[in-house]
Amino acid sequence: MLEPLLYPKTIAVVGASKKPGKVGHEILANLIKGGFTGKIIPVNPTADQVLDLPCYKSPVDCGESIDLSLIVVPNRAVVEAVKSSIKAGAGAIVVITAGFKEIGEEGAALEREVAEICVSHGVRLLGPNCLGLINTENRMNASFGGDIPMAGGVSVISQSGALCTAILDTAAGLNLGLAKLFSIGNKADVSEVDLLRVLGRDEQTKVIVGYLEDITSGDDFIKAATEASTIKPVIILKSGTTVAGLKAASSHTGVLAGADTAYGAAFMRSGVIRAENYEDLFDFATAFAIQPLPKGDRVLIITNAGGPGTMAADAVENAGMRVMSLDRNVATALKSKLPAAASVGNPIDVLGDADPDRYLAALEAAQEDDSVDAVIVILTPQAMTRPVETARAIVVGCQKGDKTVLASFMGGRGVLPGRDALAAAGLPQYYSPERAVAALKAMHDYAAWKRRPPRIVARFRVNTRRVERIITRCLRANRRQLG
Amino acid sequence: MRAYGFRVPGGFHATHTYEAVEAAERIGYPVVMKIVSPDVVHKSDLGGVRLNISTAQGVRDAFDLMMLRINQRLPDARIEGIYVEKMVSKGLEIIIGMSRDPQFGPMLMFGLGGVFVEVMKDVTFYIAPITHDEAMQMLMSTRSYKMLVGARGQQGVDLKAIATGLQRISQLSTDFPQIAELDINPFIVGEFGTDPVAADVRMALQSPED
Repeated sequence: MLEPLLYPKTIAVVGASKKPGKVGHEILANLIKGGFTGKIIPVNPTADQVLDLPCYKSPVDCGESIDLSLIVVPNRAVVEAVKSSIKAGAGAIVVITAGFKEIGEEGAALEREVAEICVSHGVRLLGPNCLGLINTENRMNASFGGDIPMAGGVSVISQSGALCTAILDTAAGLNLGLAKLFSIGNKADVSEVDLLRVLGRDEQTKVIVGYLEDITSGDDFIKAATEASTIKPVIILKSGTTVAGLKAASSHTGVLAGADTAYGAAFMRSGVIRAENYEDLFDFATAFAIQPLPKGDRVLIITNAGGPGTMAADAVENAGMRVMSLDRNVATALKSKLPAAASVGNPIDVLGDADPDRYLAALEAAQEDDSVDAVIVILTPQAMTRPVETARAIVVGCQKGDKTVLASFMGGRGVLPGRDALAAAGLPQYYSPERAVAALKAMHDYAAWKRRPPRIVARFRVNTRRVERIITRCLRANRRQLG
Repeated sequence: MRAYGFRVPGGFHATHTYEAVEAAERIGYPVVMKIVSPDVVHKSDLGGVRLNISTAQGVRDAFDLMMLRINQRLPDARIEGIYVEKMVSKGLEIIIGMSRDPQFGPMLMFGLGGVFVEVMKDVTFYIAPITHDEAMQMLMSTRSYKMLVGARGQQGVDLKAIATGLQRISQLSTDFPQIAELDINPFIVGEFGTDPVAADVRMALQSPED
């Protein structure tokens, strides 16, 4: 459906510029630098060459058919650029240019005109007022958001372009690879609904992450999100409040239904994992991208300090999950590998002087125990702690079974190399046990949603005609309040 | 409400004091009296509802007092009379509601009545149509769920009856887009096997073109 947008063979950059720092320059540079596998055609009436590529006055002059057109000309020139792009064969258009709906009625009219031209020609439009898109599969960085990210399983949909750049940078820092990224801007045509459908079926995408300010169509969103969530996790950060919160309400229910309860209810219904803030978005995305879903709610904690272990246990209980001890036989076997003072209860305390081997032994024990679904591994930097080696031991332990394992290396400078080692090995890492537990809880809720029984809505025998009559009579008499 | 399978307290419309007394004698005491007027939305705030009246003299006094109060506070309100109905006493008061969201359609609400809803805002929402499992989930995800299953020696209430109530409202609100908002407050529910009662219902309508 979005084939020409995601897999173009030829891309035109309408408004390509020679001047570094201008969007028309950066986006072309990004396409070239990213290593796009197809052909790139700069369009600019005043240049013969941009970045060593032959430049044309109009997309129709290049002598071949284009698939995708990236438009970066000023807003007044966009309609013309769109028309000539379509004439040159474009099946999809990205309008990067701002100055549309977001500036008022005049801009909104311009936006409608652009959208109508595209829709009437069967051409899909991304934007306007967006950062562009990235597809790591064909190394297409059609954005002005920095370097093309490392390829991976996370795909991003964002209504804020600036947030896209932050997401790209954060993901790079976390060693988290991306599959596709869409900045949807004003959503004149392509919306979160289209992208949920596409990304839900996209083989490269393992996790969908979204930032949304509003939803274009409630019903379509629930359908598309449910379909996508059934295949892979969808994590959404939603800001802003609903219209429902603004309307006057005469009932208790109406008053309480305000703010964003409707979004909460819609997300719950469609299996969408809600991120409350930016940290959540990545905390959850890393966990879902890298770790298997927990099979149940029984959590084992492995720690080298009492306090953080108790913090983690509290967080597990507060999240409605269970803190679980090892099976007696497994515990006895583990006990023989640990010092006498160590505890094999829950939390398993491998003691302050724990070396990597103790962590590995505890993690191996957890992996072979059927009464454990997930493991939280906590490390605090003590005098004898070796964060990097411990991180490696944890990675080894992780691979010995299919339990969900999330780690929290608490501290700052001292544990930083250990965190990097975890990230490099692709293991989720959290600054505090609470955040690790919150991510685990999100996974647990999603797993529960996936296991939910089929939805069968019962229909009761009722007298609809009688209600119809009452309502018609009241509305005819203009009686809006009953009871 | 009856058309959708809800039990509502039986009652009679009265336009005079003597009719109100007659109605009360027929139903049996104690009774509840409510003002009937298209112009009065928040009846109880204006003294338009009297509960637990157990004598004929009580009915007479209440009738006169309610008429007087409404005339004082809302002189222009059209008064159609007073509704006299059976007082439902036994059971836990909960609230079942619906509010239509412009994006997602009918949203069902469940909460324990009184202070739990008004002060603690301990309610859950779900988008209609709803299944039995989802209705039970709604009950379980409130903090006051413990009150429902029984706490401090109190007998638990019929959870399935509440779930059924939610499912019926789900059906009503998907069948009739003209209903913009709805409160059943209180929905009185007793022990397992007893029939719940929709003791007071309020609805806001909208034209299809609104």
